[in-house]
Amino acid sequence: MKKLNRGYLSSLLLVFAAFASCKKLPPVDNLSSDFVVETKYDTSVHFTTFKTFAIRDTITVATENPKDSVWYDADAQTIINEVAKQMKAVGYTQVMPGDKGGADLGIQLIGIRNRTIFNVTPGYWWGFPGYGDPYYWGDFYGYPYWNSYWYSYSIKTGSLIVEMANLKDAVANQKLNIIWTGIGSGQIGNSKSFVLDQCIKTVDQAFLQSPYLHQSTQ
Amino acid sequence: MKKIITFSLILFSGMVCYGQQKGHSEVYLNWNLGAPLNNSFATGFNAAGGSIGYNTFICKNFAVGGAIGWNNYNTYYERQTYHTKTGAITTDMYTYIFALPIMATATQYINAGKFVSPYIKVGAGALYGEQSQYYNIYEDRTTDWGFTVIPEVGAKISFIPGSKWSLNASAQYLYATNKASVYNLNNIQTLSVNIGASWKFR
Repeated sequence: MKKLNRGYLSSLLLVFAAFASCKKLPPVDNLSSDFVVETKYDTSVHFTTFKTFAIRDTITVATENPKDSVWYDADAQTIINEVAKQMKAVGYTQVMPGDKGGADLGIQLIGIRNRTIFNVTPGYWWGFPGYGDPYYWGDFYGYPYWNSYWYSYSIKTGSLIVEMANLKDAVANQKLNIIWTGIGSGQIGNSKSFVLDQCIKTVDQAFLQSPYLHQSTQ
Repeated sequence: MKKIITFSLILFSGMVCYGQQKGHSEVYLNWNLGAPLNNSFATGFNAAGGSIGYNTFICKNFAVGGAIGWNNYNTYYERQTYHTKTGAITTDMYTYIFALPIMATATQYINAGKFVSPYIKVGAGALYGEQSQYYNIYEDRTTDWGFTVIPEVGAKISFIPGSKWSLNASAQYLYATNKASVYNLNNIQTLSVNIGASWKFR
């Protein structure tokens, strides 16, 4: 009986060892750190019917810190100005926000910074470049890394969201329809200059990939 | 799919015991190198696959058994813009397919010689599949199960007559019914070669 149990256990371990090592993920650390840029729009809207836009002069901020609410420093102004520049480049005229009917489009920006938490088992990193295969430690071919517990690690991620509301038809619609959104997301680390650079690139790319977004004179 | 099943049935029907000598059993381990055939989700040659299996000879030239295989296919796409009905997304990414077939097999040896034993084999069973996209730090993944059929032609090569060890070399086609509509994947087809070894025992 003991022999049978040992044989059974050994077989199970061998099978497990073989298949635990069979999944080989792509080398994801070769991926670009540039933000993923996504745009969405209301396909029923004709953007050529709008002429003017107004833009909010601060960026709404959501982070793990509940006291964070507004981003208004020079970096924020640089990003806001980039949005305004892109809007003017496609033919819209900037006006000041104010009375109803003052601007056809209202634009505001939102910045989100948080930590993304991943739960992994020890040895999860096997297959990543630079992480030692079991045989690096000696004659351990076919032996997987293994443990029954797991641990967490976190990565700082951020998003910049640009929202465009239809002010021109707000009274008729009795609501402010959001008709275009640009979103940039990715890992941000701790470098302020990297964050600013990615936000500017997000704005530029969002307009570039939205060819329908222009005034009729374009 | 019908053609593949028909082809497999023809292969099965041709498998006959023309010697009633119950023989030995064998285990084998193969390295699998191949490429997906029919989709643009993950393309190109990949060498991160394998299979492990067991055969028992129910007569001299005919064996039945089981096998588990695994394949990894990934492709890198440079940063580019993908347009959808309601917008667009710009990123670079890896696409990744993991395929794990678990199957019953039937193997017919043809004109087995002292050194070389050609064979045809058909495996049929289930295939567990994963399809993933990796971009920035994000991952989108779908998992699915499908029915799979894997016809194979190959040969076992013994350098010493009567040796328990032999080399395997074969080519195989894999068809699986796994679907991932989000990636426009209607089935999985791969063409690959196996190189490995088998060990015979009673």
